[in-house]
Amino acid sequence: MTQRTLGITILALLFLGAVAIPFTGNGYILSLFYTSALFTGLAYGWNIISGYAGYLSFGQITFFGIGAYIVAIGTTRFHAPWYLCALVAGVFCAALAVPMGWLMLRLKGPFFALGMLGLAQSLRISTDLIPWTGGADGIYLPPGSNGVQVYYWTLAVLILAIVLTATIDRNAFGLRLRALREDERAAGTLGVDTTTTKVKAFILSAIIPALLGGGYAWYLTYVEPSSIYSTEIELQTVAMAILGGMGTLWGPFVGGILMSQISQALSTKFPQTHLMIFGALVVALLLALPRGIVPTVVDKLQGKRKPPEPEPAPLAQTEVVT
Amino acid sequence: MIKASRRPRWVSTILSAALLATLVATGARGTGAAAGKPIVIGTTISETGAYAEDGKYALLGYQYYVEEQNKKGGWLGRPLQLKVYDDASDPATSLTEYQKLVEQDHVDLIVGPYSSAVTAAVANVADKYKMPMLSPEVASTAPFLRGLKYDFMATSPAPNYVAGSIAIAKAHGYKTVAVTGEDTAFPKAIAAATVKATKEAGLNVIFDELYPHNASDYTAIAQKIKQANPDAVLSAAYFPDAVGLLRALKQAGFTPKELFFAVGATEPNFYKEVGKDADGVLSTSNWSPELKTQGNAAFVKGFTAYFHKPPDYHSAQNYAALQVLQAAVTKVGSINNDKIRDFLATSKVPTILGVYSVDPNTGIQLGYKSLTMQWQGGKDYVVWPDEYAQRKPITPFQWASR
Amino acid sequence: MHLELVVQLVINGLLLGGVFALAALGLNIIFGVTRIVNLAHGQLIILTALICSTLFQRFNITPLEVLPLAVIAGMGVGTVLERTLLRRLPEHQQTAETTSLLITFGVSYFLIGLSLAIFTGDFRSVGYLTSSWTIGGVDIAKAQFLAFALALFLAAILAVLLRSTPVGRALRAASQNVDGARACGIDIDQMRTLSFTLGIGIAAAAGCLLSMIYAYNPDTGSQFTLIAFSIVVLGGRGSYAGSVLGAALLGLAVSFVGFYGNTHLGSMMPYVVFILVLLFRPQGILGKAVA
Repeated sequence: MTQRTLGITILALLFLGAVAIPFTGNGYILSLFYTSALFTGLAYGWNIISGYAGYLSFGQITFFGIGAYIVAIGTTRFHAPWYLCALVAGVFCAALAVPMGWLMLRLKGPFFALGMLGLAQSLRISTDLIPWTGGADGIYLPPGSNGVQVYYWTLAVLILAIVLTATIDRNAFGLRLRALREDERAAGTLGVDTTTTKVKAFILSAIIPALLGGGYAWYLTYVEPSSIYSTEIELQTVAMAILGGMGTLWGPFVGGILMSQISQALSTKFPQTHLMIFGALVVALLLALPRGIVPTVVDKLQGKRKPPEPEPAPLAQTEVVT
Repeated sequence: MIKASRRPRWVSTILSAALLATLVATGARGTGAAAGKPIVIGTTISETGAYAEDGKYALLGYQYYVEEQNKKGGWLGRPLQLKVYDDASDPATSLTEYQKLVEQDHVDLIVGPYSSAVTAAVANVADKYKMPMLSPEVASTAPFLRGLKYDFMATSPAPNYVAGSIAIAKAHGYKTVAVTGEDTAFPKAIAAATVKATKEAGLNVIFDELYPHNASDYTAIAQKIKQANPDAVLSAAYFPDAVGLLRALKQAGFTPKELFFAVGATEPNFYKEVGKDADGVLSTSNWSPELKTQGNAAFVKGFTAYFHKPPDYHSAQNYAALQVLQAAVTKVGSINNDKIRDFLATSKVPTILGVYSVDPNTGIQLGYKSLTMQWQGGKDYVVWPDEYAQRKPITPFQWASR
Repeated sequence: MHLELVVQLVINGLLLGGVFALAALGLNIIFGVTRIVNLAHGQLIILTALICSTLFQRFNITPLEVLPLAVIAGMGVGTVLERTLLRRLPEHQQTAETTSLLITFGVSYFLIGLSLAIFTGDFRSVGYLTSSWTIGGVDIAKAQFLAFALALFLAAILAVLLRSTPVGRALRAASQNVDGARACGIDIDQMRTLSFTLGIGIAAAAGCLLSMIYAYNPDTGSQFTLIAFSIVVLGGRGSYAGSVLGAALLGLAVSFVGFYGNTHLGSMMPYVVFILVLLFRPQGILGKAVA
C-alpha cells in the first residue's frame, strides 16, 4: 500500500468513525464530538483569512452570530426548515463579507484585528436595538433535542472547510494569499490583485462560521446576544488555530482536537485555575513553537528523514575526456 | 520515492488520527458506575464565567442540603450524593454536562442550572430523558411558555419582584416613577413588569429607558433621570450596574425619594462594595433569614455553622428546591421520574421560601412571593410585605454624604 | 436651565474622557515605540483595581495611598514582561506584529485566569471618593476628576520628557524610525523595555483610579483594552496630546449621544468612532501620516 493510499484509508476511517458516533446512542459523547467539530470548523474558517492571508481577525464571531440569528428568525417567524435558514445565512454572510471586507481589509495588523473586534461588539449592542431580533430577550426556537441533525450538519461543514483548505493549500489562490501574507506590497508589484484576493479569503472566512452558527442556534434552541456573540468562542477559536499552526492544512484540526481535550481535562482537574494554565500554555507554545504544533512536528520529522549528503566527488577524479 | 510534499500530509494525518483516537478513548472512558445505594442528584452550576458570583451561592445551598439530610438518613433510607459540573455560565457546556450526568454518571435525579439562557438549552435534555427538573434560579416566565413538560420554576417569578417597591411608593404618596435597568433578558422582563404594575397602581411612569450590558458610562442615563425628576427610581439591575447607576445618581446630585434595584442590591457584597450610600436602598429578595417558614431557622443556623458565612437567597432557593424534591420522592416512594414529575406539577409543598405551587400546564411558579428589602444601618431587612416585614421602610431616601 | 444641563454634559464627557485617556496613555507609549498592541493592557488595569479593592476592604488603605506603590510595581511588571516574553521576536515586521499580538493575547488569557483564581468572579469596587464637588450649580465627580487630572498631568510630563530629555528624545527617535535610531547609537532594546516600564506603570495608576469609579471583575478587562486602543487610534499613534484630545472628544460623544439619543448608542460610540477613524483617518487627529 502506498503512502497515499494509507493516508486516504486513514482519512476514510476517521470519516466513518465520525459519522458513526450518533449510532452509539450516547448523547453525551455526541455533544463532545459536536463541540470538537464546531470549534475545529471555526478554527478552519478563521485560518483562511488569518492564517493564510495573514490578516488576524478577532471578530469572526460576527458571522457566527448572524448565522445563529438568521436561523432563529427563520424558524420562528417564517417556519422554514432550519438547515435552509442556515444556507441562507451562509449566502447572506458571503454577500455581507464583500463590502465589509473591502472596507476593513484596508487596515493592517492589529488595526484590522481590533477593528473586527470593535465591529463584533457594535453588533452585539445594536442587536439590543433591532426589534425583530428579540433584543435582549433573545429568541426561543422550537424546543427539541437536535443534537444528531446539528452534528451531521457541522461535520459536513467541517469536511467542506478541510477540503477548501486543502485546495487552497495547493493551488494558485493559496499561493497568492501566502504571497500577500509575506509582503503585500511586493505581492502587488508581482501582479497579485491583493484586494480581490483578500476579499475572497474574507468571504470564505465568513461563510464557514455563518453555517456553523446556524447549526448552533438549532442546537441550543435559544439565542440571545451574550451567548451568541460570545468572546469566549472567539478566543477559543483563535487559540486553537494558533496552537495547531496557522496557515497550515492540519493545524486547525490538531489544534481543535488537542485543545478540546486539554480544555476538558483542565477544567475538570483544575476548575478554578484552568484558564490560567491555558493562557500560560498559549504563551509558552507561542514562544517555543511560534509556528504552531503541526509545522514544528513536520519540520522535525522531515529533518530526521533527510538522507545523508552524498560525498562530493573529489575533483581529482573528474577527468575531462577529450 | 516519496515526494517531499506528500510526507508532511501523511505524518499530519497519523497525528490527527492518533488525536481522534484519544478523543474517542476519553469519551468512552468511565462507562459510568452502577447506580448503587446512594441517590445521585446531578446538576451544573456557574462556578466560573459571567454568573459565577451568584452561582457560587446557589451551589452552597445544594451542598448544605445534602450534608444536612445525610445526617438524618437521607431519602428513602438511602444517602444523597450531589454530582456537580461547572457549566462556566455557558449554555452549550451545560448541555454537554447534563447529558454526561444522565448518560455517563447515571444520576437518579437532576436539578436545574443558573440563568434562563442556560436553562433554555438544558430544558430540552430534561424533556428528552423524561427527567423532571426544578429550576430554582430561573425567574423569567418566557422559558416556560415553550410547551415543555419537565421543567418547573422553583422560585418567585420576575413580575413579583417589583410589587413591594410599587406598594411602598403608593403608600407614601409618590406619584412619578422612572423605570430603568439593564437590557438583558431577565432585568428587561422585570422592567416591563414594573411599567405594567406601576400603571395598574395608578402611578405615572415618566421615564422608561434601559442601558446596555457592560456600559462604560452611567452619567448620561443618570442625567436623564435627574431631568425627569421622578419621585421613585425603580431599576432592574444586576450588581455592577447597580453600583454604577447608584454612583452616577449621587454624582449628579439627584436624590430620589425612593431608590430600588431589583436584583443587584441584595448581594451581601453590595454594602461592602458601595459603603454607607447603600443605606436606604430597596431591593428584592426571594428569601430572608428571619422568615418564619418551614425549617428556615434551622437552615440559617446550620448553614452558617457549616460554611462559616451566612446564606444568601440563592442558597436558600436551591435548598428549597431540594426540599420540594424530597417531598416528591417521599410521596412517590421511589425514584420514579414520571410520578415525581406529576407530583411536582400538581402539589403544594411548604419550604423555607414559602409555599411551592406551580401552574400544572406551564410550570410557572404561583405560590412563592418576593420580598422587598431595605439596607438599614449596614444590614438588609425585609420591609414588605407586612406579614414578613421586620422593619418599616425608611423614606425618603438620603445619600450618606455629599 | 438648559445651559446648565449642557455644561453638565460637557463636564461629564470630559471627565469620562479623562478616564479613557488614563487607560489609553500607557498603551500608547508601548504601541508608539514598539508597534506592539498590548492586548493584556486592560487586564493589567483591572488586576490593579482588584488589588486596590481588596486592600481597601481588608485594611482600609485607599487607592490613592496605594498609587505610588502600584506604579512602581507596574513598572517592574512591565519590564519583566518585555524582557521575558517580547524580546525574541522575529525580524520580519509583519510576523513580529502577529506574534506579539498573539503573545499579549495569551498573557491576557493568563491574567484573566489568575485574577479569577485569586479574586473569583465577584464584582468589586472601592467606595471611596464617590461624591462630587458642586461648583456653580454644576457637579464634578471627584474620582473621575482625579483621573482626568492625572491623565493631563502624565501627558504633560511625557511631552516634556520626550522633548527635553536625552532619554525622551531617544524614545521618540526609536518610535519614529528604528533603523535610523539604531544608526545614531540608540539602544533600541533598552527603549523597548523603557516603553513597557512606563506603559504598565501608567496602567497601574489607571487601575488605582478606576477602582473607585467602576464595579469590575476579572472579565471586565478586555472592554478597557478595546476602548484604550480606540483612543490610541483616534488620537494618533505616538501622540500623547492626541490621546488626551481624542479621549476628551470620545467622552463628549458618549455623554451627549447617551443623553440625547439613548445609552445603547452612547455605549457603541467608542467602537463606532474607532472603526470610522481607522477607515477614514487612520493617522488619527494629531498623528502624523503613517510612514
